[in-house]
Amino acid sequence: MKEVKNLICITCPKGCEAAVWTEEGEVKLKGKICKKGKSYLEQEFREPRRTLTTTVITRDSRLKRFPVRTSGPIPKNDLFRAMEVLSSVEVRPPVKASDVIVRDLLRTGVDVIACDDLLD
Amino acid sequence: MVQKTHIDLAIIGAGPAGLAAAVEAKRLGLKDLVVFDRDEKPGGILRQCIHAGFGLEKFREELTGPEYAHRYLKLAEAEGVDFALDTTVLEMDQNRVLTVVSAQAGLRQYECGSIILAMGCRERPRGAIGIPGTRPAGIFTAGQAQRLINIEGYVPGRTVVVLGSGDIGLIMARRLTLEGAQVKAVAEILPYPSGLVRNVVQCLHDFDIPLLLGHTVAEVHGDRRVEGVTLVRVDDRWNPVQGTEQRMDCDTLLLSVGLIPENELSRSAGVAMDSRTGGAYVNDFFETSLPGVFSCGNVLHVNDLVDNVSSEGESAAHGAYLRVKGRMPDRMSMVPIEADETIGQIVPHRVSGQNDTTLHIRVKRPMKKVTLRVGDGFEKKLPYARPSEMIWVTVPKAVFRAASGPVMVRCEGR
Amino acid sequence: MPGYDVIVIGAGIVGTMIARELSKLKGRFALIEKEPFPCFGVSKAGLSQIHLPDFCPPGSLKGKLCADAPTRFKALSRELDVTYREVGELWLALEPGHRTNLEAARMRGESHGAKGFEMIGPERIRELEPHVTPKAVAALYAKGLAVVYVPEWGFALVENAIQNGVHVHLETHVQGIARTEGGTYRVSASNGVFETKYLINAAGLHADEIGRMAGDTDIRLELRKGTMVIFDKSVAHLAQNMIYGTFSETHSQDIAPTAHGNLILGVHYVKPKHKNDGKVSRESIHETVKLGQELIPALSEKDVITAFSGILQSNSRASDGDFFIGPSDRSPGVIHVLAGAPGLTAAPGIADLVIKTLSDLGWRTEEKKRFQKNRAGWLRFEPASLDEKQDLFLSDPRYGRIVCRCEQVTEAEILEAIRRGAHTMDSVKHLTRAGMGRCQGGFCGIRVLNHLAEQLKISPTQVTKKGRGSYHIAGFTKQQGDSGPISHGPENSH
Repeated sequence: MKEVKNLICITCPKGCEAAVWTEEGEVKLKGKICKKGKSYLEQEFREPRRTLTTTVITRDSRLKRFPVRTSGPIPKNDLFRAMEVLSSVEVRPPVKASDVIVRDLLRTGVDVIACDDLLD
Repeated sequence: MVQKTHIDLAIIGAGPAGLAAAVEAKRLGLKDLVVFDRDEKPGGILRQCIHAGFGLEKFREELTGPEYAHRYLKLAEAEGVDFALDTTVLEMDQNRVLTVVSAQAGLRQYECGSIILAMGCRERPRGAIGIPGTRPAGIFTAGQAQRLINIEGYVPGRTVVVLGSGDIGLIMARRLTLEGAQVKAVAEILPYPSGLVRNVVQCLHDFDIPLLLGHTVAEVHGDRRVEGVTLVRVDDRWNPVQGTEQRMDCDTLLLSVGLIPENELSRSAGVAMDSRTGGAYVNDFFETSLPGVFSCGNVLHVNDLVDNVSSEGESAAHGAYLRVKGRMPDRMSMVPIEADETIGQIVPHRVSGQNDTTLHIRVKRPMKKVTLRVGDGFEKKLPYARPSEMIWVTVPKAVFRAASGPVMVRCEGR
Repeated sequence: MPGYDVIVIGAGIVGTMIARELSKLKGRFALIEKEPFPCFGVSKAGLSQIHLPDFCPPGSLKGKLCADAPTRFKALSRELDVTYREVGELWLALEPGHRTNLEAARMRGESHGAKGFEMIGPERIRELEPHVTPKAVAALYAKGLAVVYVPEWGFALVENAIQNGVHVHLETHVQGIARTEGGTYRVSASNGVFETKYLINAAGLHADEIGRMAGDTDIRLELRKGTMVIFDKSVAHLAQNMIYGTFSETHSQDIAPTAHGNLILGVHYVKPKHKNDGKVSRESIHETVKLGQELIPALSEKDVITAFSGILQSNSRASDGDFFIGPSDRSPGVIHVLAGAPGLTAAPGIADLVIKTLSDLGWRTEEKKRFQKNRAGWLRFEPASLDEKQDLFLSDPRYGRIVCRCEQVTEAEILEAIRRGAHTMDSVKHLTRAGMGRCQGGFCGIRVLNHLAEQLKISPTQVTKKGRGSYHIAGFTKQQGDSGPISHGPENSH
């Protein structure tokens, strides 16, 4: 039985829908989808990926939390484990925006980077 | 005695509109300006919007709110912008005198050559929408919850129901889930979600959070702390349908039911207000009915994209610059903009015809295959129009110059 | 010498007034209250108006107790340093046939000693209140009344009582009352046992329960729930005085300015499901606004910033909804104070009557030589002039940081309120106004929570909205802080 997923493309605000499945290892879709959307839906079908944005603890006297993000998307299935890893991370000044806070998060090849400066 | 200072430009609000206005004003050559903000750090609402989706137009990158604010702050730093943070503007009068107070400097007054209003919005609270029931702890607006989680590090509750499927509500549904709470449902009174499709997918579908369209909260339960809510289906006139009530246990109710431009300062100074936008009446220079007072960003009308908010800030800075340098054209004859019943909001309200002008339009209901007509002779075709997506359309100045009366804006579609 | 001479149960406006008046006398006194703050029950959920007794039946006790209220309250407002906003009263006749109602009201008022009534016509009505409906054909007008804010008064009365030696026990639930062999009363409460010679039952909605504990099982309360709405300050100009219309079992029409500068409108009545039924329905809000629009057509539901309900009671011991203030039949030394509306207006009179009753029961009432009649509040930033604001800042720089933007409440005032006993978010709100404005705490709520945690040296998860069980936040992100791993519940399960 082939697995068919009904997916919504989110590359532009139109939100076109398509049915997606694989046939002989190739991704097939049924629906009116543009080239950019096709590429997104293929990835989404094979391995959905998401950018994670969250906060980490800081013991800076004026702030309690500091915003961070993954430098690129990571597998959707890793999101909760990523949150766990990041729950024990603490940042202290000096930090500059885009500094790497955690390198190669969960061996995804993606880093966690600072979204702002944290200076004394 | 209270110290009085003269400045060329006061910008009220260090969010995306105010920051962009400050940078642009400095670039144009206005040296003598101060940006006021009641928060201890600049950035406005962006500080708590830690999710991505900002800056695609301004920076050609997808940035988080803090990153977007950081970019503008770096520009502001480079331009030598002065900030008065942890400072509240108490009053603005008709002569552009601001009265402010801070714990560092006490009371001060500023006589301003021009003022840019960039105060953003507040959220609609429970009292204003009359949710029946008890008054327990555990009812938050989505923005309050966002600040609690992202700035303070507090979790508002463990089991949550969200009312309102606008982007803020959807984003908070995801954020709460990632921080360990259980979001049981998002209820939306309309038959379609009011936020972006992308957010419905990445905030609700990703986490199997049910979206209950055509539903609202009929009642809140709990004496000390929320114990549950009763959800009910509504008909197309938003009336509850008897017999469709369902009780959902939860300890938290999140309200994402609308933003209200924060115009108390504007009102008290006598600035003329548009009840449809909740913001000031402005012309194509973003100048309000008070000469020298400009309005931009969410305090003028609720925007969708922060990049557009910054663009408005830049336009307002241009207007302020012209005023301060005495270069605002005298006695411009303004063409009033009128809209038919397909259109909910339109800004600006009057156009001078000095330049090509961008109109910002929100339609009242979703339409497909739309033809937007402005006056005689200008039209633009759009595949669709939705109330949740503001339409920006640049109209050549000739359309306004040729008009002998008000210019009518109409939207035709299916 | 263990025990008290008099314990007052219930720190509503009546109980706190009694406690304060008692504190003028020699003796040992206590005030017991189950909420974390005075006047948090019925007293807070009312209109906060000092009325004329023109709606009290002739010969009624409640009418008698309201005599002189404006004079008493005005003097008290100076002694207690609290807000007292003088207004007039306009009782409208919307049809010529209603003129007789106004005459009847005047007669009732005069029978209770009130003076200064004027019958006025449409022109004078228009002069006084330009936004009143053109249908108003006549009005009964009187000056010298007032609007206050009950929680502020309750707090001030409690502070003054404490200044004068009264022991105030908040968050203390009375669980049982027993008569001792010596003829005194032992009051068992959630956090202690108290002994007293005399007991004043001023427990409002729970007076029947306290009555039963004291041996009087016949006290029954009949309840009505009334919805009131508050309008945004931007429409405050629509009424300068208290404006009345008609009254029935299901409604009262009463619009008035509030002490804070809003407009309050009431009241639509329904039967409550139980004593703690504070639910407000959408229909009730709608009906209440309609009542107001009959008097002031420009009122609109879109200007409502919040709505709440309050429970009114009448008791089985007095007829015609009158008050009952008198000694228990079964338990000598227990005095029942079964009031209702107008409880605020009658409070000073009730306190006098209670003390007289104590005296009749044989207790020797002797005045203290050194009664401190003045209690000082704290200076508020918002009403001050520009130069006064600067002076406030120079005296304390925390007057320079605005916490509640909508009501212009500063950090200095918030911290002072917490220092003096406002230990929940609602207590801070009702005492300082922070959170009562148009954004309803959206901006200041988090700041108030942080101040409470810091000043009370507790975890933010232990800060409550209104006492036990009403925690505001459940824990911390990142599973850090005192709450431990995220799978545990909030740490305020006390």
